[in-house]
Amino acid sequence: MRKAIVLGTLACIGCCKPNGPGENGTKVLGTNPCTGATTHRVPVPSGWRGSVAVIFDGWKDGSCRDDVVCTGRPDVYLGDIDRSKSNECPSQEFVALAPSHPAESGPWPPEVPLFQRQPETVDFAFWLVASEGRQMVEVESTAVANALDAMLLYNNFATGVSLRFQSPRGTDSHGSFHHVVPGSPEARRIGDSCYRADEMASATDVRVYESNALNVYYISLYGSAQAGIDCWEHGHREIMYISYDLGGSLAKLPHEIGHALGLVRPRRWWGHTDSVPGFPGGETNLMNSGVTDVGGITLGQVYRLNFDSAAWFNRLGQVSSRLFRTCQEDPTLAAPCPKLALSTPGRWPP
Amino acid sequence: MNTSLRGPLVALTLAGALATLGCAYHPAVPAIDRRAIVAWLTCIDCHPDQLNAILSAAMSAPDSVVAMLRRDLANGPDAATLAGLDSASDRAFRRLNTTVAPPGFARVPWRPTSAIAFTAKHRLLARRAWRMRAAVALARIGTPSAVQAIDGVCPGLTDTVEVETVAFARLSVDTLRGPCRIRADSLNIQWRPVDVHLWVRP
Repeated sequence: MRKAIVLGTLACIGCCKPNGPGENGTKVLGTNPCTGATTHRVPVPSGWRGSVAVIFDGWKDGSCRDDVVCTGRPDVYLGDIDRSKSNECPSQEFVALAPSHPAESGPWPPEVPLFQRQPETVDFAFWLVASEGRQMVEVESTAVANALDAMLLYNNFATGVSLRFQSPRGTDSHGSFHHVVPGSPEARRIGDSCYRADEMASATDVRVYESNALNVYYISLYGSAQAGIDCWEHGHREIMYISYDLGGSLAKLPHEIGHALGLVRPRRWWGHTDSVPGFPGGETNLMNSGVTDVGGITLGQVYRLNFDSAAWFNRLGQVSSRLFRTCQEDPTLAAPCPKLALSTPGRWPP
Repeated sequence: MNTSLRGPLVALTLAGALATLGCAYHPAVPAIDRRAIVAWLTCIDCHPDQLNAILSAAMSAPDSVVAMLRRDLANGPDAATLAGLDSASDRAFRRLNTTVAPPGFARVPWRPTSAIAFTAKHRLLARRAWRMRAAVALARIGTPSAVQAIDGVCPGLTDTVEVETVAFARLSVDTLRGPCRIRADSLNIQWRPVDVHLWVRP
């Protein structure tokens, strides 16, 4: 990680400076007379004011480089990179990330402006097991607040993921927030344990599951003292429970969504970053098992959300143009995916 | 040797010998990583090894670990944890109150209106988890003093969920009886089947 941060710092301080103004969408700003390499500005749409982070693998500044991180607002300058020499490097990759936009990737910075596509959406269904009346109002308010907070977080931290759910509306229709009466057949099917996940997913007698959505069950207490849990270990990442009567963390939902979307490595530690000494953000990282309020997520984690074979976007039946790869379990390694702890030199997004 | 120094030297030697003997008769309590216990008390989705770390510590220093967990069970979260939680609650309160919701979210009163109530709610939820996990760890340690620690706290519990969860932990040791059973019955707690895979002793 230290190496990556140092590389990133050097890249952004020493080599990412522009050497002249250019038009939006213009990539080549100048040519290094000694090497013939070009100074690149990552093209962004006209009027773009957001901040961008780039992870670059390839030939840069006279050698093959891995996981160089550059950030900028609105432009990012990659310095002297060379496409033909990059072809001889062990890895050629370009990933660009920006808040509220899908991750862009390819072997080389594209010719066309980035971030023109809509973010990739993840649909949700919330199932609230509570007594109608005051308790349901309270649980529904909590669930809606948690959902909106999670949506904001996933947008602002440039995860490339957009969470989508429908608002509760009227008394008959609750949008994505379904009311379940305790003791009803639906509530019994939901239960309080991931051991029920198979039954729930295949149930035909009651409807407590949506197959192409992340299903979040708000229950009083989970059976084994968990404040929240995603059932990925039971083969159902699309099912998660939140105990609304237990656990003061304000990050229960976004943390479990992180697991559901693919942050499960190192599997030995259920994807929790407290297993990695010195992990950036410490107890405030999204995937710390005891996170109370999320302070950040690393670029390495964002990369996995988008390009790890374990990502939600790579699930069975999902059509995607992304190139997925099976990321390494060992968080100290930097290949084939960037190191899990890879982060920007400064606070990003700003 | 200067005779004037002999007295102090003898005294020093004797003191050293006594200190050594003292150490031999009262071996230092192995250091317990308090962070490991706090990690178990505060985790969202707890990994079994987080509990196992406490059980390992209890193997080498049962009295110290049980005493620590007894305090956790009785008192709930420590001041540092509460301070961190309060800051987080405050940030979330402000964040939620400046969030622009998508259209259609007006019917549900999702925006917290009172910072004090918002903080108090999260304190309560944190305290429940803290006490429940302390009880679970004590149940898994399972020594007479650990079980006694659970029994000792039940008569004073007032929060129904705390009684329920602490009693569940007690249930994993053996048949529920004693003060926790009495307290649970007095609150008319409805028992329900639970998965106890994290709770039962291997």
